[in-house]
Amino acid sequence: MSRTKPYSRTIPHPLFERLIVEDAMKEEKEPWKPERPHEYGYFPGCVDFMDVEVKFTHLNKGDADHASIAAASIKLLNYAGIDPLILDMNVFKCSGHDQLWQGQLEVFDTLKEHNMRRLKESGIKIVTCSCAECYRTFAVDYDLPNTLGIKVEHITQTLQGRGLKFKAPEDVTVAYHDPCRLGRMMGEYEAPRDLIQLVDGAEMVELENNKERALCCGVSSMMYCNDATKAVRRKRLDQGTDAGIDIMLGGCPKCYMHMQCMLNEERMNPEEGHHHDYEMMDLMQFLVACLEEKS
Amino acid sequence: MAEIDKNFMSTYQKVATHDGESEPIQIWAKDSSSYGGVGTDKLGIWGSVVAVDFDICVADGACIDACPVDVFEWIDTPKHPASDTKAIMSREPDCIVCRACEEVCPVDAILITDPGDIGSGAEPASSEQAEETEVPTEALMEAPVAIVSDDTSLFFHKPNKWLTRTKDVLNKEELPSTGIEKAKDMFKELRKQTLDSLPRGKDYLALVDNEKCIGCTQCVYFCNFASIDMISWDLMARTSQFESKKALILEDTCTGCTLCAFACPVEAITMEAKI
Repeated sequence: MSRTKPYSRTIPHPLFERLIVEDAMKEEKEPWKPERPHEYGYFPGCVDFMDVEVKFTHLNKGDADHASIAAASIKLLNYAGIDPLILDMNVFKCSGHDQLWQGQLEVFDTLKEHNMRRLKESGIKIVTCSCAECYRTFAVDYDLPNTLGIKVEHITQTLQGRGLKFKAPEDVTVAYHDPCRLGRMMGEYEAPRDLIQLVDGAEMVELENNKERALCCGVSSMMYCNDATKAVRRKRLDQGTDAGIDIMLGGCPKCYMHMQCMLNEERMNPEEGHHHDYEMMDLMQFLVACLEEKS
Repeated sequence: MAEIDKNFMSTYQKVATHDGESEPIQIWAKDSSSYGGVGTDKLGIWGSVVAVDFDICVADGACIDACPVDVFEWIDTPKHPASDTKAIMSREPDCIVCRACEEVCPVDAILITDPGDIGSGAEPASSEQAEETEVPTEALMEAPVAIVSDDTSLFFHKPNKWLTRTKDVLNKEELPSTGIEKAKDMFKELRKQTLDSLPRGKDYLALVDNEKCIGCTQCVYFCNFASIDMISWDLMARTSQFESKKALILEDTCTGCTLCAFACPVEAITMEAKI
């Protein structure tokens, strides 16, 4: 059954996209109602599917810990005094970003219809995402503010200006890597930077290309990964080494996945001589590591 | 955690047999007193080519899902502490030695021995397999549906000080679920569906469509028999000539297990009947 779906011929479909398409085709018409009303809803996105992908495939060498981005986001929202409704992936489906950009419009429309119905049923006022792609898809392609009157926020915007305090366990130099979807597409450059500046002991430096001139991770919408996309990523990672950073922070699980894949690949083949001696992390993971112990 | 004894054929004794679909299933135990029969807590190792240590088996069902030729089925084993059903190899002679079950078993209770190695002394074959199956043990226990280990830090040094900190903080308290089990279950389901939808077994052969193959090498990693090779082709585009690699299935070692067809991201691999 799954092999007869009309996948595009030219774009490879990794396992997790096959799973998402499979998920999209399942009809779920029963109404759903959250246990109690919430103002905020948190949408984790397809991080769990990405974990399965990384475990399954030999080509994607990223770390299978994307689910920790969602866990970290929930923890930070709780820390900021927000009790979000978790838009559980058992009830919701993937936002369909990759399917839209790859041209699988039929799949995207199915996902959109399902998620719109569920969002309406959930009764939330604001939806916040830790994924820049989900954020753009909800805000622009679903057009939630105009269709359902739900405000869409990236988690950095939700956490911004709430008087949060973080303390790094040791002095650290970090740089922020702007995801295309959050930066150039949605114009949000300041919220993540403001959050990083709240961390006591973390010095933020800018990479050579930053904000609207930031370099991409190269694997937009999981279209393809080849030598050209790897060259873009290597250039970006080289900029990190040039800036002398300890951690590169991303605002999108996909950036995290692709950068981590590249870093791991370099570490597996040290004879090739490309080496970047720093960590790639999602901003949410970093902030959780800098949470102050509540005494 | 315990795993199946790799040398059980020399260290264990044959204690009993159980009816299979066509041939009887051999049951092995350390000595006759450590086998109590179905309905007790001492079950020993069942099967020879497809050997499952029933004292370890937790009836997770991964092998039943993974097997391309339906060797396994459920058997009730009441009163056993690990689980009250087990995966019995009723159709053991059908085994095509693809080792898919060995890889997916979360507790490493399965050991596959090539039928050719059984008569001619089990020693060399067992030690060889011990090496093959040693690596993924730990990681598979944590992630039952994973086909490969995700703990890449086993093989190289990685500065993951900060990520460890994040995990430490997150492990301290239980956070609400985001539906991770769904993705894992769907993976199992999809694999089963795909394998069911393809003709498979000894009479079939995988075939690569060169037009579709993107040379990603995913199938090469998945083949348990080193039965796929990457071959360079000189290709012509409109303006230039270039070289590209395509997968090639080696006919004499392909067992028709369909794992490569599932792994292929562009559906370039189909199963064809052998002529």
